[in-house]
Amino acid sequence: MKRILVVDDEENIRMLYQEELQEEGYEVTAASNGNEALDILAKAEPFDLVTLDIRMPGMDGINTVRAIKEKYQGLAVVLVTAYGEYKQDFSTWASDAYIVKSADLTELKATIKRIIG
Amino acid sequence: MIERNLKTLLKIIHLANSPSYSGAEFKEMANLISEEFGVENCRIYAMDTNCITLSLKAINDGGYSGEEISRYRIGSWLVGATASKKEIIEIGDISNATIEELALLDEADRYSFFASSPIVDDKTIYGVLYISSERPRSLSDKDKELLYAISQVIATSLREERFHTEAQKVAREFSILYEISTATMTTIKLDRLLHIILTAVTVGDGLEFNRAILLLVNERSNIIQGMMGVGPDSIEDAWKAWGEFSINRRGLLEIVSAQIKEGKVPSSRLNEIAKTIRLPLDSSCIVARTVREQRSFNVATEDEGQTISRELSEKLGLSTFASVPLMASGKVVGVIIVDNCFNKRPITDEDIRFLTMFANQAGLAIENSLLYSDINEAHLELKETHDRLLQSEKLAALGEMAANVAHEIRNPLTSLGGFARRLLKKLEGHTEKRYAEIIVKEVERLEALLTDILVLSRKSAGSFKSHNLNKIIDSTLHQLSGELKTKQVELIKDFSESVPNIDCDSQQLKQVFMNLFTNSIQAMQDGGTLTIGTYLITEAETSYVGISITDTGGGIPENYVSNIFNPFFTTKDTGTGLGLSITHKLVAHHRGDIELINRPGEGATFIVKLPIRHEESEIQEEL
Repeated sequence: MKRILVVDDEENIRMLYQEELQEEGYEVTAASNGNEALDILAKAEPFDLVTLDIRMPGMDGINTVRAIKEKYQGLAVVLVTAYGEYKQDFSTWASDAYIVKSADLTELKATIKRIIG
Repeated sequence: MIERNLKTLLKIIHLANSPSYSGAEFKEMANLISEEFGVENCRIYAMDTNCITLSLKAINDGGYSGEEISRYRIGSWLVGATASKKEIIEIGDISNATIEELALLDEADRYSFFASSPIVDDKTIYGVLYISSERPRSLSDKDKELLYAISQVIATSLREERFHTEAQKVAREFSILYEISTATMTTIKLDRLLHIILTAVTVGDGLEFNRAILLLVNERSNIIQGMMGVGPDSIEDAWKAWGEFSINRRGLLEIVSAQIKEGKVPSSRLNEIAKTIRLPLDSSCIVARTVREQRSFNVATEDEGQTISRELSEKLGLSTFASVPLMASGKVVGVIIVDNCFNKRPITDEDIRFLTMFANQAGLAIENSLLYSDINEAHLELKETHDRLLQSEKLAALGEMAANVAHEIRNPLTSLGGFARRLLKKLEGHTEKRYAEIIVKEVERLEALLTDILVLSRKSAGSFKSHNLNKIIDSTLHQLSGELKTKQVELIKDFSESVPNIDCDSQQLKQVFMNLFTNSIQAMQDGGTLTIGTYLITEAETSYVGISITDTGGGIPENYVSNIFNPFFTTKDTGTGLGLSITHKLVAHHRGDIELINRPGEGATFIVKLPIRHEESEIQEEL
């Protein structure tokens, strides 16, 4: 079973993603900010994909992508955010995909499926 | 005998001392002289101020009067010869006259005795006294002395009259100038001012020229531009106009106001022609020289044809005319051209002097008016810039605020809608499913709104490629074909095939056109016509493609016009007010421009202008 780490500071969003993605057949773990995510990645079993919110207290999504890509080259990262304009930010280019947050999770699910199957 | 002579002289002196200014005393004098010398004819001729022509001033009762004796040039015939020689000429008996003497006589067949005496004071000749009779006679020295003495008395009389005429003329000039200056002060509008000036030059109690044309110097383009012409188009019109204005003797302002009310001046053919005149400042034409040399010209002879530009002579039929500079603060601001093409009255130096005096005053008034319109223009420009600045600042501030709000709302909205979707799945088969459906739908609507706001607030890059605008418009229209049909909107496409491809983001432009077309269609609730045109514009060396979108939906209420590009401004019940703001932003992002031509009650036209090429560096910077 593919493993996904959901990183978002909003508890409701974490819960939504967790439930929806589990139903899609993934094993889902959640973290509420960048630091927590890096801790989990370091301690737990390897993950296949991370979904990252950008604006979070503590370490934000952009810095987290950079940190993840330095340590875990093969790990896919999908940025999911309300901030449309980050699409033009060079720092986000390191991620594998960029999705604008929406209640309709079709795009997110399709993207994940495309990357890790 | 001597006593009688003295009596006559005293009577004449008495007449000379009580001037009537009607010329009656001169007739009385002529009667006395003819009686004194026992001749049938006595005439007094007065010299004009230019010392060229002698005109008949008075003739004795019963003396011969005829057209041929009313005017003599100096030097010609007996009267003219007397004036040029300044001495008495006597021909006692025509039968003894020499050939030279006979040559002076135009009335040789009628009379035998002729004598004429110059009317002079110390230096100036004022006229000629003439006597003749059928019967021959000879003047004694005493007679000659008397004739000379009488002539000198008449000289004081004619001089007195000349001063009087001069004084009257000056007084009249002053009153005309006063009236003109009062009239020019009533307005700062250039058109009206020029009209007043030219009317003053042409009306009966003004400067009395037949036609007047005013030209202004354009220093930027180095040309002299015709501004206005006043005068009748034909001799028939001329008689009518002169009759009207001199009979009525209305004030200048009254005439001008009446003409403006009747719409007379702009309709004159002369005025139309005058406006088309453009003369290079460096031309050899008299009119250009008037400006360069800052002096007036009186072109009196028709053979100086080459001194006037062909444009002027052909358009205006100018041959004999005068050209006077309009001066203001030591500079020539324009030229007034005048002529008397209808009554052929020669333009005298006196006319030029008065016209120059008038032109100086008119020049000042024109300069004031030009300065005023300059200031006014600058003021309007400033205001426009200020408004635009305000608009863009307002947009920026609103955009930023909207973006922040949108971000804060997006997260809760995601969970709200996300869980509603989960409910939807769990409630399959339950009646409560439709509550979840409502939540999902409403969240979708809110998210769409947020997307719009985010487009507005961010500097979207987009991908610029070369596209054909006609195709982009066509594909947008294709999506709207259903709506056009149901709303009964007729579509007219007026595409120019010569429109080149432009560098643009086709998706963004599609959104631009979609917004504009949708607005137009929605404005035509009861059907109408949507006209879409494309064309090529070149402005200041930059080429644009222009797209015009015209509807027949009644236009936009005037008080809304200034707001239509503001975010959240809407007149629709269900609108977000973001459509036109986004359109504006996307067009601006293409370095283009969008403007509205509003025709309240009829419809509205939006014009989008997009530059064909983007500067390389600009695209780089944005990507």
